[in-house]
Formats: sequence, C-alpha cells, structure tokens
Amino acid sequence: MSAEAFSANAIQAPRWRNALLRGFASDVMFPLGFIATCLGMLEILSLMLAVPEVLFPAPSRVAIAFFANASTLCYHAGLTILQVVIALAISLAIGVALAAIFTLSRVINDLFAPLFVLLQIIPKIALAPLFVVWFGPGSLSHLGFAACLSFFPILAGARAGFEETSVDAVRLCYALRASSWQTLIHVKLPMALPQLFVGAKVSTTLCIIGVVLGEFVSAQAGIGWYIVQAAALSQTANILAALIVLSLFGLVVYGLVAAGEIMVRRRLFG
Amino acid sequence: MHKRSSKARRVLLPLLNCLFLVLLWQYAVTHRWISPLTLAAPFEAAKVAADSFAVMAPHILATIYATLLTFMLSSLGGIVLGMLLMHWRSFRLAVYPSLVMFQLLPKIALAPLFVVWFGVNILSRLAFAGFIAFFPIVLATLEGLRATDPLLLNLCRSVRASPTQIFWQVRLPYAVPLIMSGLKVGMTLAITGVIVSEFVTAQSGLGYIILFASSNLQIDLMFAALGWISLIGLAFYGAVLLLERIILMRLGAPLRGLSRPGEAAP
Repeated sequence: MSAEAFSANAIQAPRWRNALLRGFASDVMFPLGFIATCLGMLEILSLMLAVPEVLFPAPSRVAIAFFANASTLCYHAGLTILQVVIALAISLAIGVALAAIFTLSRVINDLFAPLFVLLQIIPKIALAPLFVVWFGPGSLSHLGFAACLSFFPILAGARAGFEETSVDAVRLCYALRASSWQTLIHVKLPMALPQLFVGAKVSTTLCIIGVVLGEFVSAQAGIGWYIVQAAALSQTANILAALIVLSLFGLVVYGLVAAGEIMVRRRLFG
Repeated sequence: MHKRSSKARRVLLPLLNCLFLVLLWQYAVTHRWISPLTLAAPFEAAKVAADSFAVMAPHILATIYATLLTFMLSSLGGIVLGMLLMHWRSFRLAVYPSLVMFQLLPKIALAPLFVVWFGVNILSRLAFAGFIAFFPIVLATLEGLRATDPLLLNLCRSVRASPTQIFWQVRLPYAVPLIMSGLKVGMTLAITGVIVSEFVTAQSGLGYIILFASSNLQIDLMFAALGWISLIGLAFYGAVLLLERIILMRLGAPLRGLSRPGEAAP
C-alpha cells in the first residue's frame, strides 16, 4: 500500500485532501454511523414490536428521561465522581508509597510483594459488604472499598517504572553519593511516571466500579443508589439515563488522567 | 540496585510471612485487640467453614458453575469476534471505538438492569458476567492477531502461503500470549461479575451468602465465604495459567519469563 501511495503522490500533487477525507470517513464516520444505526434499529424495533418500557425503553424514551431528570442525575453523579476522585488520590498515595518501600528495601519487597500479587488475583469485589461493616454505610466505606480495589494497578505500574529506570542513571546517582531516597525522588520517580500513568488509567475505571458497587451495597445518595432505586421501581429508562450520565462523568475523569499523562510525557521527554 | 533474590528466598519468605500474619491476626482477635465483629479470627472462620460446609456446598457449586459457564461463553464469543474483526476491516473500523468505550465504562452499574431483562435466575447472572468479561478478551485477541511481526508475514507471502495458512499457522500462534492475558483478565472479571450479580439478585451463590451474613453481622460466616471465593478465584486463575503453559509448550514457545500474575483486573 505504502509504495503505491507514495508514487502516486509523487506524480499527482494534492492527493492529501482525499486521504484526509478518507481517514475522517473511516475514523469518525464509521463508528458514529455504526452507533447511530444501532440506536435507530433499537428505536424502530421497540416501536414495531411494542416492547414494554420496563423491559426495553426505546432510545428516545431514554433521552427524554435523561433530559427530564438531568439535574437530579448530575447531582448524584457529581457525588459519585467526587468520591471517585478522592478514592483515586488515596490509591495513588498508597500505591506509590508501597512501591517506594518495596524499591527501597529488598527484605520488605521479598516478604510482602508476592502477597500483594496474590491479593490482586483474589476477587476483591466480594469485600464490599465487609467495608460497610467496617466503615458504616457512608462514603467512607465507598472510599475504602474503591481504594482497596484500585491501588494495585498503580502499585504495579510504579514498581515496573522504578525497576525500569536506566541502570546508568542509577549508577551516576550512586557515584555522586546521592542517598537511595534522593535517587528515588529525583531520578526514579520522574522516570516511572509514564508507567505510573498506565496504572492510573486502569485504576480510574476500577475506582468508578468500586464507588458504584459500594453505593449498590449501601448508600443514601450517589448514582449507584439512584440506579438501585430506579431498578426497584422498574424505571428502566431512568437506569439507562443514569448509566449514560455516569459514563460521561467517568470518561471525563479518565480523559483528565490521560491528558495528565500526555502533559507529563511532553514535559519530561520532549 | 536489586539483585534477583534466590528462589528459596522468593518462595519461603512470603510463605513464612503469610503464616506469621495469620497467627498475628488470630492472636489479635482472640485477645480482643480487634473486635471479632470487625475481623473474624482466621481459625474460627475456618471452623465455621468446615461446620457449615453442608449448607454452603450448593452455593459454592452455584458460583463455580456460573463462573465456568460465563468464562467459556465469553472467551468463545470474544475470540471468535476478535477473529472476525481482524478479517473484516470495515466492521473493525465501525465497531472498534465502541468496544474500547465499553471497555472503559463502569459496566457494573448495569447489574440491576440484567435482572429486569432476564429475571432472577442463572441466565441473568451469565448474561451480566459474560457482558463484563467479554470486552477485554475481544480486545486482547484483536490486538494479538494484529501484532504479528511484519517480517514473518512478508516471509509467508514470499513463500506463497495462503491467507488461511498464514492465519492458522502464523497469526494465531503468535497471538496466543496476548489472547491468554486477555483470558486471565476475563477470568477474574467473570468471577467478579458472577459475585456482583449474586449481590444484586440475592438468591443463591457465595455472593448471596456474604450479603446475608453481613446483614446478620455473622462476620465469621462472611469470612468463610470470602475464603471460598478466594480459593475459587486462585484455582481458576491458576487453571488459566496452566492452560497457557500447555498451549505454549505444544506450540514450542520458550517458557521463560512468561507468567505475570500482576496483570489481572479486580
């Protein structure tokens, strides 16, 4: 493909506009068209088959529910996302601190690192009710549960990053008599940032899952609570509208983390 | 800088540490440093697990059954769809962004909806857990199939291998490590999905036991159920690791530095 395109470009000058249009068509129009087609088919099907709204509301009904309840939904989703952000900050702190300890002390690393790997494989989601017992039915239990669920990818990312720091840089620090703490803060941590962000992106989705699940199990407010309430009242359109709001907010948080990653990469690595 | 610790050290130290922590935990609870309403003593929980085994057995089996079925369905569907996406370019262009978006969405929030759709039965659990476990498998399969070394593909074309031959003898074998890592994530997500749907429908299964025990403040029963869930999770994860080793061994791949258990999801 590349050879032909190249020679064609050499002969005929402004082919790029066509290529750009084609790229636009395949990258933007195809996916959007696919989603639009799916929604349209669902709408037509649910109208034609007269599916009861409890079972499957037509997309238009979901849109109506979305706009009718926009302020309530945004309030609950806002509460949830606030908890998500706090939980993410907590798990960042825990994850990086643990990774730093593991890097500084080989004994602690050998003692505890395998246990954390084991903990990671265990389905921790089952702990949700336990956190309610520990912290009571409030946002504290959601925060604890979400942090417990999501700190591991950050720990893994930070450890991978610390270990990948170039040997030469560490040797230079050693030659300059930098303490291992200084080496960690000034050399290893900046070098580990890209890996750390890879972990943080995974953690973001896990934080959202943790908070919402915590709200399923016990809450007085928040989008998880709203969904459970709507499910109890069989308001399927409201469930879907709540999910859309939650997804939008979640994508914003994820986007912010991804933007932070790009910024850090630019500043550190040009 | 860390040197690699010796193998005995890497295996024995964590085991001893684990034993020590369990004993410390037991001691702390029996001497009331920690209230037994917060953490059940490990040996008490083990005793409860042994005593209530007859009651728990059907719930354990229900969870195992649902998890296995979910895993099989979602891995079959995921791998087949991944292959389709690999072959059918316009389909891939249309669907891929939606798949990535679904991968990011908090799909857990849909659990109650699946109950509305499928009712309070195993079908809703299978559908929900499958829905959760499916996406990482598709994406990993697709990524693996597309990541074949171009040099290999060029070589195959120059010896006139047919596209079918290339697919079955080059692309698929080289995609196995990535597909298996997708399956590992899928396995943990399958268990997660099954337990969450047991939370929501609360009818049978270990998730139901946990919720039931927590509302009765029977912390030792809760820890017994948690222990079973952990065992099941570890066993299934180990089974996928074993499957990976067997497949790679049959393909004649080098086994060193293969398994990275840290990449699992929740």
